[in-house]
Amino acid sequence: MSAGRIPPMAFPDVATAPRCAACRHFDNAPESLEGAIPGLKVMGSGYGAARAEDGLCEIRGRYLSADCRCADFEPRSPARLRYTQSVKVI
Amino acid sequence: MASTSSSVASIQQSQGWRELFAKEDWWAIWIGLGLLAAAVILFASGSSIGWLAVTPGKWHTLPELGHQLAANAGRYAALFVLWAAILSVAVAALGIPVAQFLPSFLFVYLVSILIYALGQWDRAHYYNLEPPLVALALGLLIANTTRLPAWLQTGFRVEFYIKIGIVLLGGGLPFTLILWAGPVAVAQAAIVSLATFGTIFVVGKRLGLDRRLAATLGAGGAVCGVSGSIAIAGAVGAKKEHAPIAISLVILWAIVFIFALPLISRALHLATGVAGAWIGTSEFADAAGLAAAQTYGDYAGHVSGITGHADAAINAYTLMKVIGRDIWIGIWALVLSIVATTRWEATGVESHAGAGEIWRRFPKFVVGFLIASLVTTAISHGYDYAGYKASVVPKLVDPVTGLRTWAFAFCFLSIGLTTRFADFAKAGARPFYAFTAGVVVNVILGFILSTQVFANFWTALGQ
Repeated sequence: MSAGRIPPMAFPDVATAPRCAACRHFDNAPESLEGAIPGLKVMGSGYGAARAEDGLCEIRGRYLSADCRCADFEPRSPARLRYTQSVKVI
Repeated sequence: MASTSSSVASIQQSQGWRELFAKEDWWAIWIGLGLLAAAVILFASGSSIGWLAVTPGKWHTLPELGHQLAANAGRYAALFVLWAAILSVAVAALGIPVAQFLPSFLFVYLVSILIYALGQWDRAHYYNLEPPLVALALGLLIANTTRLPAWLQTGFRVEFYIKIGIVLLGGGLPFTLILWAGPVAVAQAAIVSLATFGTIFVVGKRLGLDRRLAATLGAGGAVCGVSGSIAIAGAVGAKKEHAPIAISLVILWAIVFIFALPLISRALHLATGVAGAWIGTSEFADAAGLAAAQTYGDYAGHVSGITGHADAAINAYTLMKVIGRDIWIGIWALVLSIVATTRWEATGVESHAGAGEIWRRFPKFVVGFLIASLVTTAISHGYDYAGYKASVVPKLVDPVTGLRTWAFAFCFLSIGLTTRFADFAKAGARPFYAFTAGVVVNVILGFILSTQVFANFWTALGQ
C-alpha cells in the first residue's frame, strides 16, 4: 500500500475512527511480527499473551495497541481480521 | 466517508472463548494441566505416568549408554508421540503449519535426548557439561555457522516450551511455599524492577533517547525481558525500530548472564536458593533465567561448598521471576500507556488504555502454574511425610518433574537455535549504554538483596 493511495484525514475526528485492529495498515499477525521484529522469537513470542493484540502500523511506522485510533484509518477485508482475535465483523 | 463510517458500526468487540485457543499461554495451560491431570488420574488408579516420562539414567561408558537407550527405545518413541500429538494440536490452533512443525520438533527431540543423556554422564560435572549450557552452546554454534531452512525452524518455540515447563513446575511446588515466599519475592523484585527501570529511563533520557525507546528498554531490563519490551512498546506506541533495539540488548545480556550468573554464584558458593533468587532478580528472560537456575541447581551435590537441594534454585528463581516480576507487566503497561498519552509528545495516534490492559497482557500461563501447585498440594495433604516420599514422589511428582525437564530441554536448545546474532537489530551506542547502566544496577542490587538482606530467607528455601 503506497502512501499516495491513502485518503488524507479519512477520520478528521480521530475519536470517531475505528480501532487500529480493523485497519488495513495495521499488521498484528504473529508470524509476520516474528519476521518483522528480529529477536522476538528468541526469548519471546508473537503468540504470547503479553503482546495482547498489538501490531505494526505501516503508515505511522509505530508498534501500536490494537485499541489505538488515528485519522488514517482504512478498513481491511474481513479475511485479514482472522488474527485479531478480539474483533469480528458482523 | 459514509461507507467507512458504517464500518465503524459493523465492528464490535467480542470477548470470549476464542482467546482461550488463540494464545500460546492458554495452550501451555491446557497442555501442562492436561499432562498433570493424566498423571493424577493414573496415580489415583494405583498406576503412574512414569513409564511415559522416561529420562536418561546415569552412565559411565558409551556402551552403557547405548544399552540404556536401546532398552528404553519404545518409551522414548512413545514420549515423542505424546509430545508431538499434543503440541501439534496447539500449533495448528495457533496457525503454525503442522507439516513443518513435526519434522522440526523431531529434530529438537532427538538432539534433546543426546544433550540430556550427556548431562547424565558421571563425568559431566567434571567437564562442566551442564545440559542447559550444552544445549545453548550447541544451538548457538549451529544457528550462527549454518543457515537452517525455514521449515526446520518452525519447531524452535522457546516461549511455548518454557511456559509448558513452568505450568508443570507448579506440580512440584507446594502452594504453601508460594504463599510463604511469594510476598518476599514480590518485595525484592519490586525494589530491583523500579530501580532498574528508573536507571535505564533516566540515563536514556540524559543520552537523548526518545522517551518511548527509553521505556521499552527499561521494561526489558526491569520486568520480563523480550515480553516486557514488546508489551511496553505497544502500550506506549513506540517506533517500529524501538522494540528490535531493546530485544537485541535483552538477548545479548541474557545470554551473557546464562553463563556468568551460575559461574559467579559457584565461585562464591552461594546456596542454591540464594543463587536462584539472584538469578530470578537479575536475569532478563524467563527461558534464559531457567537455563541459568537449572545449571546452578545441577551443581548441588556435585560441587563442594554449595548447599541446598537442586530444586531450590529453580523454585526460588520461578517465584522471583514469575511471581515477583512477570505478572506485573499489565500494570506497567497501563501506567506507561497513560503517561505516554498524557505527558509525552503526541504521535497522532489516540490510545485508550484502561484497566482491561492488566488482564489482556497478564501472562496467563501463571494461572496454570498456580492451579498445578494447588492440585498436587491438595493430593499431598492426605499423606504423612513417609507416605508422601514412598508413594506420591515416585509415582506422581517425579514423572511430572521428568516431563517438565523435557519441556525445559526443548526450550534451552531452541534458545541457541533461534539466536542468530547477524539477524539482530544494531542497537547503537546510546541505547547500549542506557541499558547497560540498568544491568549494572540490577545485578548489584539483586546480589545485595539475595545474599545479604534476604539471605536467610532464600537459604531456608533450599533446606
